[in-house]
Amino acid sequence: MLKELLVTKYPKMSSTQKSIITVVNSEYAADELLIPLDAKIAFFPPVSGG
Amino acid sequence: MDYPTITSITEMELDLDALIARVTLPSTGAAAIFSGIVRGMTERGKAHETSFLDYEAYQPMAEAKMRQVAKEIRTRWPSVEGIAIVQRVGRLYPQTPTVLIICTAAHRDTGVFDAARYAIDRLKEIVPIWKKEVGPDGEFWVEGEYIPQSGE
Repeated sequence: MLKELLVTKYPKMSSTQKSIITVVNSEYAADELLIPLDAKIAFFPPVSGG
Repeated sequence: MDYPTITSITEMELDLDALIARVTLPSTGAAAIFSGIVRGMTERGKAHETSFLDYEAYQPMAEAKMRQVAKEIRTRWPSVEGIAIVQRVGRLYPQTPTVLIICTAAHRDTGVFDAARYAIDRLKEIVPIWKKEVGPDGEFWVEGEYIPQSGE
């Protein structure tokens, strides 16, 4: 839901929506996760370290 | 049975000898080492030159995920003794080591090579670090292909 909201607000992101990774409190989150109160949320692209 | 696990993100130059010393126990007889290096000239795919890479990490999640990779290694290869996973961030130029992975064990036939390989593969999947590549033809953020699932 939050991801959908993000894409609605920033339509340019819709082309990359599938590769937007959602993190809630430093853990990878499924799209259907219920976000806890005061959660710290991060969105980022697939990682590329090394 | 307290095996050393070292995971960190640093802006400092990577010191291989010092790191090996920290994951070497009296019982250690083998260390498998992997290091990633900034490649200045790429032949594979679209041939191009690289001037430098800018690395960024999402801390402290990155360090937590490195510890998780180490934990996964211990589950898969219980004979692994020491594990070191150190990623350098900031601006790094060609021929510079960017990451150091060391897995130690009593003997070389215990899975240490596979464990080190697993560590770098897994780091590139789930540890939130990114690099921007800058070259004579412009700059772009390198993007991995893996989408981590909930619980990873």
